[in-house]
Amino acid sequence: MKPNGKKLELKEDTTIRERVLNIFRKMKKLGYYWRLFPAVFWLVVFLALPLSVMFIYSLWTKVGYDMIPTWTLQNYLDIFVRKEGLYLRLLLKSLGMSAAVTLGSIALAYPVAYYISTRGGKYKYVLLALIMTPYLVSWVILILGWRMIIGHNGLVNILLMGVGLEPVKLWKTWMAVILVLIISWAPWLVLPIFVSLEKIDRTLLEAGADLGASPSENFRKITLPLSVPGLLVATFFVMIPTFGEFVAPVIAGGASGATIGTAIEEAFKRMNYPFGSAMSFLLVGIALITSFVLIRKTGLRTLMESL
Amino acid sequence: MKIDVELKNVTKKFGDVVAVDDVSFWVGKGEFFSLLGPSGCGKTTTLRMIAGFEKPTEGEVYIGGELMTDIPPFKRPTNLVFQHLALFPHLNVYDNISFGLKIKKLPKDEIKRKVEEVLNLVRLPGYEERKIKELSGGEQQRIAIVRALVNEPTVLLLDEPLGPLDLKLREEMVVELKRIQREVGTTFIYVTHDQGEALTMSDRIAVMKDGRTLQIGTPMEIYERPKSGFIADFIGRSNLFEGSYANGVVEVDGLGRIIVETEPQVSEKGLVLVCTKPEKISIGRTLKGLDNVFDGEVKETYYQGQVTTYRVLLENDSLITVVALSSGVKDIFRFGEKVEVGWNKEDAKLII
Repeated sequence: MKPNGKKLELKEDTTIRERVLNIFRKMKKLGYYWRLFPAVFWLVVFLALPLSVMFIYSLWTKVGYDMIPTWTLQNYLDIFVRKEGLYLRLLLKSLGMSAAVTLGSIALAYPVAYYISTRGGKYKYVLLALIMTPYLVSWVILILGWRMIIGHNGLVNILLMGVGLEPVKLWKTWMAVILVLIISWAPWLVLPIFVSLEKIDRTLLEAGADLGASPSENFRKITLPLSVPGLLVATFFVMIPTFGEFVAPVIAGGASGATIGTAIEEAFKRMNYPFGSAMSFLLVGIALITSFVLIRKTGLRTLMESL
Repeated sequence: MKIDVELKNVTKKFGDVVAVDDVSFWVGKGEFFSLLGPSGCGKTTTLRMIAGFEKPTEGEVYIGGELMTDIPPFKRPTNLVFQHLALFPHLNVYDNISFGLKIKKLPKDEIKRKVEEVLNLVRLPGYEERKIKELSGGEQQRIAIVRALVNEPTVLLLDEPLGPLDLKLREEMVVELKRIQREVGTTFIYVTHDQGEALTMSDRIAVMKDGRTLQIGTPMEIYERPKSGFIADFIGRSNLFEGSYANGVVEVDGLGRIIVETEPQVSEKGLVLVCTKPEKISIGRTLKGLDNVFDGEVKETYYQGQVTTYRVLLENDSLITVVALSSGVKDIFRFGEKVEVGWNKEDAKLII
């Protein structure tokens, strides 16, 4: 045991050293934070700032073609009451579109992912790369490509007329919007579903077979439940961007392609910034809630690993 | 004895590689039968052919008297305990165990009763709702065993299920497995590379090497009367001497004569192997009353508590292993000490 006095003296000695060291440590720590600067700068300037501006607009009042900084919630209320609920209907239509596209594209992607994962052999990754090739083409051109097939003078109608039938109107319909979106999303979804299928330990299927499960029972009781994380990731991929989709509705849907996305675009075009911003923010809110639910269900780690 | 499983001239080739080479054996009802061999000897492939996961290239597999060669695994009366258990991670203990019963569409209360029964059998009552991740290694092991056993298979196949466990747990599970087998009376076919496990649990053992069965017999037969040098060395360390046999005596170059008891059918050259187990050899400064006594020098001493293991250099420059009961500090021989080692003629087994 050291006598008390000496102990105190020692402490006195070290404090100055400690302080200096602490300052250095803090600076070092700050140094680490500085490395985040480019990313943070990017996020603030190009995401947080414009979004904040938009959020403020959504709470201002529109007078003629101008806005005045009078705070109001009227813009949000308007979504539900204006034009006899037209915007609410558009919102629901968009959500419905999003759900249909999600289900449809997963239904299309799952068998492909399953096939590549189980039968791909050494060509697995070649096949995956080939599946991704449509995305070498721009989104708008991809959509317009469908006009060649289901457009008024498209392949389908040429064939129909060839066998003496009346041409049908497929292009510029709501069905065309859904169809185009499903087919353009499906290749993307092959990826997360493939990843989750690859993670399944094949001996589990042997165990299932050993316990008497036929191949189809094995699929239902083992493969499908264990690929749920992939399905949730896929849902995340499609559902959220599709909420506000307006390119495909405009090009493939025409007059019947009105969605909340096109309504937002329309509002901004007519200089109705507060109303457009309010609709945008409602969508952001819905997307946030959906993301939250999906993350809770999937687990952030699974989600990020599959991205 | 009623025969549960029979393999007739079974061969399995993977491309040009012969994994299992003309293997034949039978397993009786209620028997604990082990396939024992080093890794790559074809024991797991043999087991997987019985389970139905591999199809024999040649030969037939019979289970319960019926030809099974072309029957898929899910239609066979066998259940397999996998090496890495393969418990379903998305299901709890109850759903794992009842997996097979639900597929057979048994009534709900019967399933419940059976699951309870097997959980009691492995002393894990009340574990129904637990998640697989929450279980310890030993608990997972037990669940994997009863998940297979609950289906009341004609034969239960076990593919080195104790491999991933630590030593102490393994020893516990060996006792546990034997108890379970005794209680349920199901035929067990057990694959292992661990001779200790095989000797402890089995009624009979098939020793495999390079896709062939070298010897099939009770643990005692295999340990005491190995049919080849490989088996003698694989099943408990053995001291092997090569020499030429004549009239009950084997002449070993540089060492001298070893008196043996068995009358062998000597091969043309007259070359034989003499096998003596380490624990059958006495060690001391002077030995009396033994048929074979040789001079040696202690090279290594391992005090292991109950026993002490010595490596002794003989005059023909061969190192032999001697395991002696530890009898006290003053009786331990140290490095460099001159000793005598000896054994009786009945402990000098001939391998032709």
